[in-house]
Amino acid sequence: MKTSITQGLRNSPLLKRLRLIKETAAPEYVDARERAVQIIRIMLRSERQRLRRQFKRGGGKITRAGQERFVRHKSRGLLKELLQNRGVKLKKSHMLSTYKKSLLLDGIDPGRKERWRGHVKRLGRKTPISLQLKNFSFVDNPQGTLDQLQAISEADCTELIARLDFQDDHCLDAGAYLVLAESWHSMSKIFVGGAMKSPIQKVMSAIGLGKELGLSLLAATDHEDVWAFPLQRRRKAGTTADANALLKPQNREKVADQFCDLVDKWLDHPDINQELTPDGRLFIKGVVGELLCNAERHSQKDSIDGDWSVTGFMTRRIAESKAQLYCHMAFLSVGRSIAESFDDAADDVKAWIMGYVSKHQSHNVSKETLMTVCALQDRVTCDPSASSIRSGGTGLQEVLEFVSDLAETSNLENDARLVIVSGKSCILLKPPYLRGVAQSENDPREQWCNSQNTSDLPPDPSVVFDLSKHFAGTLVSVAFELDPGYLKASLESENDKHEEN
Amino acid sequence: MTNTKRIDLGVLAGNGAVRNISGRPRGLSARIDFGLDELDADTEVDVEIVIPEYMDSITPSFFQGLLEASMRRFDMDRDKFDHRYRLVASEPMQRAFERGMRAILVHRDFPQVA
Repeated sequence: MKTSITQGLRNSPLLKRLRLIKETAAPEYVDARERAVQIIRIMLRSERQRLRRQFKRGGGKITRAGQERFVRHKSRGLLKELLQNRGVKLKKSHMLSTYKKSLLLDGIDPGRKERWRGHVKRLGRKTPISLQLKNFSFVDNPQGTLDQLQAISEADCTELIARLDFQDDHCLDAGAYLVLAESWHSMSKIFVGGAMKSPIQKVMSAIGLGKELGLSLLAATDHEDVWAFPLQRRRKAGTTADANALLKPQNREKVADQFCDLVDKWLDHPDINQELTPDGRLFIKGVVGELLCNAERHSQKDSIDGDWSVTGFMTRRIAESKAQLYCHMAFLSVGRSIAESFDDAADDVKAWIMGYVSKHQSHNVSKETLMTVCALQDRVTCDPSASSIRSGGTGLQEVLEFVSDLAETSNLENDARLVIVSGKSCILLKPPYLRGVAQSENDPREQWCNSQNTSDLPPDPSVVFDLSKHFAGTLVSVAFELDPGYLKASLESENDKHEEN
Repeated sequence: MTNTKRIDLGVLAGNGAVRNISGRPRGLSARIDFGLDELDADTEVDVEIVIPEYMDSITPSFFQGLLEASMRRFDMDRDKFDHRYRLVASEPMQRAFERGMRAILVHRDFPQVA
């Protein structure tokens, strides 16, 4: 009976909660931790009194001393267990978890396989480590974001429990969260708790990442001011069984339809009250189709059956009593990088690329990154069968044109950014290095990322640079701001022009 | 007297299951399925490409896959192509078609490396 009361206390939800606060509260919440310890002590004091009451009254001095020793021994043991973090219990799923291969994580975190330890071999910490995710955005901070993803992977290899603290005020980029979601399933779910501001919780909940990552997003009670394109994936690479699959509607085409409907919804916002023009639909679906088709065709060697994932969202924020609409889209394919895909390219394409590479390769920019710059140019394709019939290689310029057009619907066009992260290369495009330029109508569009847009000069190092980690695949992430007032005005003037004609 | 062979691209879109078509491999497969090589070889046949009203996007790369070989047969001469092929489509889809034709006709020679 005496023991069962102690056991009952040990299992009480309140005590478990207090213990969790004590163990996982971030260093800045010292008060909360101390208060938790104080409450634990008070509860144990009352438990001691309760234990004492269990004994019959009377008895000799020696008996009473023995009873008191017993009470103190019990409560001391319980206190020790609670305060020394001995009670990190391994879940069955943790005990059974094994190393899971992940092209993305193994590239970002080299040596991951060697460092990964089974959970029973991991040491518990008095205070679990807390990972601070700040400026978690490929469009703003590509290298820093890769470093943070590496830190997450490192913790996953060796820690029993860890916290993720998202310190940004808003979701700055769809790409960073998409990569996190695609890596998550290869990790062993050691992350418990952490800080995340309400705007980020809302976006994560709306795009379905809360469910994907198994996070309870308590602050996301509604999705007001967030319009999301929930994360979608193509089935696994190389799983197409139907011989006539190419004659039937493709998953990417369904996604393009849905994406376009979403943008229409964005534009239907009361602040804008517009809808996509037929040309707008043509363009957006074209871009989604081109990007996802590229992902399927080029991310796997000797196959056109690669996979992809995609997500997007728009958020509305009020700044200086003015509504601002921020749009984010991200497209990810896992597998070969753009530069690696050129292993298959036709000889004339390779020769031309190597000519450019040899001209500009230096300690500042690698061969791989210069090859990625070449991929931006019209007519450059890694598909030798397309090259042989003088076809293909225009998809990326279509994408740049689309984003440029969208950015120009705002007087804040300098805020538009498109980042390509592929292998160890990063190209961070923003005006004036966004739209490709053709010399004449049938000339190829080119964007060489330097002030004169010429292949004779090296690319601007602030736009084109190497990353310290290998990203196994290609991420294209886009961020731009829609200015409702400007958009409305420009659309009205466009309508006027059509009417005049 | 020439016959007209009608090609409905709506079939590829599942007759409305999707409202767009994308990708060069799709164009190449459709070319084989519609038998365009045989139709191009038969001078007695004209081809009518029909794009249904509900369609709102077809990517340039699809048209590259579908029609690149025809253009080569017609020596990359747009007039010869137009003489045999006719497009029945809405205005935006006509613009999409023109984008595809531009992608086919874009100058593809790589400049000499200095």
